[in-house]
Amino acid sequence: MIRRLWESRSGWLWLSLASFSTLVLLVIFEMRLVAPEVDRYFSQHDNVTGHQLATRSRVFVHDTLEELLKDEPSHEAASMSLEIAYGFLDIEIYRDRYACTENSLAVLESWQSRLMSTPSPQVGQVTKALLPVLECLTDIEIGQRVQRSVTVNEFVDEARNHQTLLLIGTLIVYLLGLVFWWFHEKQRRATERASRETLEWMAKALQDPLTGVGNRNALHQQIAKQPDEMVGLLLVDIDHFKPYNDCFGHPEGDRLLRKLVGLIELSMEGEARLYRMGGDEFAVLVSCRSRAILRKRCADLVDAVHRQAIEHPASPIGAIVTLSVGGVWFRPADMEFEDAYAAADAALYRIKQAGRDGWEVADPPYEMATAPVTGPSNVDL
Amino acid sequence: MGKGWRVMLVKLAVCLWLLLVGGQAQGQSWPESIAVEQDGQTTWVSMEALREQADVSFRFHDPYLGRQVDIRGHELDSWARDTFGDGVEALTLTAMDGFTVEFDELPGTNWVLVTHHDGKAIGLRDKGPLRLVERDYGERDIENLRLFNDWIWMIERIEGAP
Repeated sequence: MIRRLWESRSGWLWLSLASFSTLVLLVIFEMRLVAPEVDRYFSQHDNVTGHQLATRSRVFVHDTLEELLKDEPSHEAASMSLEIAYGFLDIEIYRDRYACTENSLAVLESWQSRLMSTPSPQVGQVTKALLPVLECLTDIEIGQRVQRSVTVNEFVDEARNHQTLLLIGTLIVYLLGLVFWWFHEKQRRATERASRETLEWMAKALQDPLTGVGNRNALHQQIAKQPDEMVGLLLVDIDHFKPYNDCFGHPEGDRLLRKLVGLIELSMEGEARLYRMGGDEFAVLVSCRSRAILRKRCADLVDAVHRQAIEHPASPIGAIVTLSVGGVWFRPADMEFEDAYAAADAALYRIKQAGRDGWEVADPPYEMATAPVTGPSNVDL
Repeated sequence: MGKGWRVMLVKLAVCLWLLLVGGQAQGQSWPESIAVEQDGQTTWVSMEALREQADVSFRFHDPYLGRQVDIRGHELDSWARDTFGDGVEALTLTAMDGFTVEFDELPGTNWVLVTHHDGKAIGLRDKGPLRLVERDYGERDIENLRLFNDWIWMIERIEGAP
């Protein structure tokens, strides 16, 4: 299951969210259910029901005596007070816990009846009879207070244990949430890393390792990305590169290739993409809105290499490195890449045939004058 | 008439007297009516009428009495609607010793105004004559009567408000 969770991209995230949701539910449970129960238990000190039933019974026994002590006592009112006192004392818990309860109830019942009969009893008699009842009520009150203290202590202990458990539970759930989140984060990073590596490998697969520019596949992809844009494709060949290698060695030849890449990029003012097609042959893809602009790019490129005057003692056409450039201006949507490539290659071939160190842009394969200008502006002739 | 007969007659007379006095006491159930208040106006409803109209009965364990009791009475919710009209929402019940229980909204079917225990009308000593209980009190600890403090008895006034 752990493995399945690990493999599932969102499994840990859901577990983490579930943990934090549980945490919220625990807090709500504490606030909505436990706290009101505590309030209900402890918040009754100031109202009449906060008093013990025995205390309330005592109040009505006192009322009876007070009524009887009046100059013109109402025996009915006194009897009613005893009746109410009886109701407050007639509690099963009192009967169970306090032996005096049964006797007291019998006394209350007896005197409540006698108060309503004639002749009415004397106050002294009633007082004397009710004294044991009052003593019993006192015993009950004390006993209940002790009982309440015990209950409160138990309640407090229980509440403390509950809080401890809740705290531990909350911490565990919180830590679980963090752990799940950490797993999720780890998994997300691993996925990201894998994606990045894949992209890097994909990029490397499209890159020439020696010069760092794109390879033939990259050129194909780039052409496919901009089918409606007018572009210039230049094929650049280093004149007599093999004698250069023979003269200076292959490491120096490699350095020359890298240097020329920099020169080409500089000449194109950073607006062109370079691709190494193999050996000493490069392709340059540049957005341009007219054939004339492309022609100027070619001239600038050849001149730029001339100006560098890179020594080439083995060259049969001069003492410096020179380039041969063949180009074509086209829109990929209108012309197959293979055809454009062949046109540029043919132009390059003609330059080589003409003695190298030059450039040529192939004649337009269709009426370019009507072609829309969609690419970014280059140098305006 | 022999001495034995005389002793027996005396005992019989004492028993009759006790029964008469006791019977009188058992039947006492002040107050005999409750005040019903709404919009500042008070009307009185006799306990006799309440007893006669009591239409809800069930059996439950009464934590105060510590035993199973057959209850008869009125559902507070429906009684309040019948008495105060459908617009009533808040209720205040006041006992003879001044304790009040307040409901901000009608309490549903769980709260019952009790008039009879085990088929007999209840008096003051039986926690009557009108008593408020919950039909279902869940898992509350019946040893802890503080959890049943809203079960007031000797109700003498019920006030309804929108």
